[in-house]
Amino acid sequence: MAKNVAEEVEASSSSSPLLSVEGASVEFWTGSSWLRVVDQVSFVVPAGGRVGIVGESGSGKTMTGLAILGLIPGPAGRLAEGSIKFDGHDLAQLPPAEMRRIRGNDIAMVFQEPMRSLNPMMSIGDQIAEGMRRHWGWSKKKATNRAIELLDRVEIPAAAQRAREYPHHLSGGMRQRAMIALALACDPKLLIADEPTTALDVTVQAQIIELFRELSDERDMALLFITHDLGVVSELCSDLVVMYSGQVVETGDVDRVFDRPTHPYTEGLLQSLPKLGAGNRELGFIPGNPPDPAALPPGCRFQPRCPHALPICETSQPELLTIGDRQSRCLLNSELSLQGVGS
Amino acid sequence: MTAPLLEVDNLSVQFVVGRGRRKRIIRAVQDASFSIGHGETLAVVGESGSGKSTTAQAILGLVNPSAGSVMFEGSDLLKNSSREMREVRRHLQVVFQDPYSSLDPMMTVADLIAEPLDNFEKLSSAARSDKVGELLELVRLPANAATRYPHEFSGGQRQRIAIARALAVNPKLIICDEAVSALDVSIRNQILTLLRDLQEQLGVSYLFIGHDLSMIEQFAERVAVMYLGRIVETGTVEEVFRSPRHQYTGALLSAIPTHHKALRAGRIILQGEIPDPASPPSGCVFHPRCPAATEICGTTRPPAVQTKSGEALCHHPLEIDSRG
Repeated sequence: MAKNVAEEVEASSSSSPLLSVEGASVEFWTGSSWLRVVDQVSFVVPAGGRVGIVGESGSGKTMTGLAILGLIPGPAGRLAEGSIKFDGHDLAQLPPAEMRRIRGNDIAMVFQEPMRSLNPMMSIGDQIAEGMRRHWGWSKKKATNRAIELLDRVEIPAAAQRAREYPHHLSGGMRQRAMIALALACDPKLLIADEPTTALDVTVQAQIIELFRELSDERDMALLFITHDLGVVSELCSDLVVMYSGQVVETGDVDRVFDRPTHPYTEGLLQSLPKLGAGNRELGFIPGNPPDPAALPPGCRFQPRCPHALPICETSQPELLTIGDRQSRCLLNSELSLQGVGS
Repeated sequence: MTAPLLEVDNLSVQFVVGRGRRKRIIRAVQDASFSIGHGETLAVVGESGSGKSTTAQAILGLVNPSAGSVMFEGSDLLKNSSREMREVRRHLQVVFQDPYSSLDPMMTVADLIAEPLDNFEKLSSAARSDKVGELLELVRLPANAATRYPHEFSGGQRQRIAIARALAVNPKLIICDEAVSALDVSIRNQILTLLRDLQEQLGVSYLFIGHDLSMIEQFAERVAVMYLGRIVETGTVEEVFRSPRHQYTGALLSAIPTHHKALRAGRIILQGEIPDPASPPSGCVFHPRCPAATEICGTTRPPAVQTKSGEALCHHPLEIDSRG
C-alpha cells in the first residue's frame, strides 16, 4: 500500500526524485519485542528540491533522517522494512562500505548540536579538509584551501584564521556555519538538516535559514529539513511532510497545506503558530499528549486529541490516501473542511 | 493608582571573571528598570547574553546586584535579612525551563507539590493531601498523579507539576524563566493557556522571561526587550508588536519565521552576533549590528524616546506604524 502511494507521488512529480523513501519502518528491540517508532513512511525529495519534515518530539522525524543515512543506532535498532532509493541505489540494501562512500559524499548532514558533531581536538579547517582528502584523495594543501573557501562561503569572518581554530573558540552560530561548511565539503546532492537552527537565537536563525536557501539554490542541492517549526518550513521549503506518532499524516505543497490542511493534526499545528500582529488573544493548541509508541490508541493515532473525531476513528485505522498531489491520513478527510492560515 | 507589586529600579549585575591581568568585568545587567502590577504579566525578552535570566536571578536573590533596588510590595528585597526574605519568598515563586532537572526524581508528585507548603505551614496529613488534590485539579492533572514520580510524566505534564508546586504557597508573583521554551509547539500553548487561566482565577502576576517574541503576543500585556544587558524598549505588547520603535526590536520581530509573505517582505536580517558582554560597544550597545547606525550611535548613549506606552532607547527610532 505504502509503496503504491510513493509510486503515485513519484509519477506526479515533474522531475524524477533524487530520494524516494518507500514504506520505511524503524523498530527498536525492547528486550521482549520490536517497538515500531517509524511506521511505513514514504515521501520523495526531487533533485535540488527542498522538503521539510515537521513533527514534535517522538514523531519519528529524526529517526527517519537517520534511517536514510543508515545511522539507526544498533544493535537495538533496525530498518524493519521498506526501501530508500537514492540516485539509483537502494540504500537499505547497500553494504556498509558503499554506504560510507555515499554518506558524507553524496548525502551530508547537519545536526542541532554542532558541538556533538565536531571533533573538539581538531581544527575547523582540518575537519573540513579531512572529507575531501579521504573521499577525493586531495593533498592537504589543496583541501585546506578549499576548506577556507567554504568557511568564507558560509560567511565566517576571517575564514583563514578561523580554519586554524578549534570548535570551542566559536559561538553557537559560527559552529553551525562551520558544520554546514563541513557538510558542503564533498558537494553533496542532498543535505539532511535535523533541527539545525533550533538552538540558535532568532536573529542568527534568520541568517542561517537564508544561508541554507542560497546554498541550495546555487549548488542545486536538495534539502531535507527536519524541524518542529512550521514557520521555518514555510520560509525555506516547497514541500511538507507532517509526521505524527511515527507515521506520515499529511504531505503536500507548503503553501497549499498552510492554506487548506487536510489532516486535523496539521490544522492544530497551524492554529498554534504565532499570530504576529493579528491583535487577538486566542492561543490555539492541541489538547492532550502524543501517544506512547508502546501503547498506541485504537484506530487513528491522533483520534484521542482530535476535535473532529467520530466513533469510527476509534475502530478503523486510516490509510495514507492520495488526493491529487496531496496525501492525508484521515478517515473523515472528505467530510471535513479544515481551517488553514492565510499567507 | 496603587503601588506596583514589583518595582525594579536601575538594577545592575556584574560578574568578575578571571584574576590579575586576565580579570574582566562582565556587566550582565545595566540599569534595568521596570515594574509589574497586581495580576499583570510582563515579558522580558532577549537573546542569549541579553541579561534576561540574570535579571530574574537578581530578583530571586540568587545573584547579588551591584546597584539598584528591587521593591516587592514596598519592601526592598536587596536590603532584607534572610529571615525577612523567607517570608517574602512565599509570595515570589519560580518555574524554570527544564522540568526534567528542576523536579527531584526521587520524590512523589504529592511531595514535590507540598514541599514549599511544608516550609511555611504545619498541615495535618489529611489537610496536606486535600491541598495537593486541589492544586492538581488547578493545573488539570488527574488526582492519581499524586502518588507517581516525575519520570512517569511528559514534559508538558511536568511543567504542570512545577506550576502546581509554585502555586502551593499562594504566591503573588511567579517568575517563569523560559518556562515553555523546551516544550513542543502543541503543548506550549496548552501551558500558556493554563497560566493565563490561573491568572484570571487567582490574580497572580507573572514575570515571563523568554528568548522569542513570537511566544508572548497572546500572553503578556507588557514587554521589555533586552539587548546586551540593557532594556532597549518597553511598552504594551500591542504597541510594540504593531509599531516597534527600537531598531533591535524591529529586527527581532522581523526575524520570526513566518508564512506571512507580507511580514517577510521588509525583513531585516541582522549581521553578526551579540558581542562579548565583557567589552560592550560604546554608545548604543546595538550599533555594530544596527542597519540604521550612524556616527553618533558609536559615541553617545541613545536618548529615551517616549512612546505611547513606554520608551525606546534609540538614536534613530523606527517610524510609527501608520495604523498605530
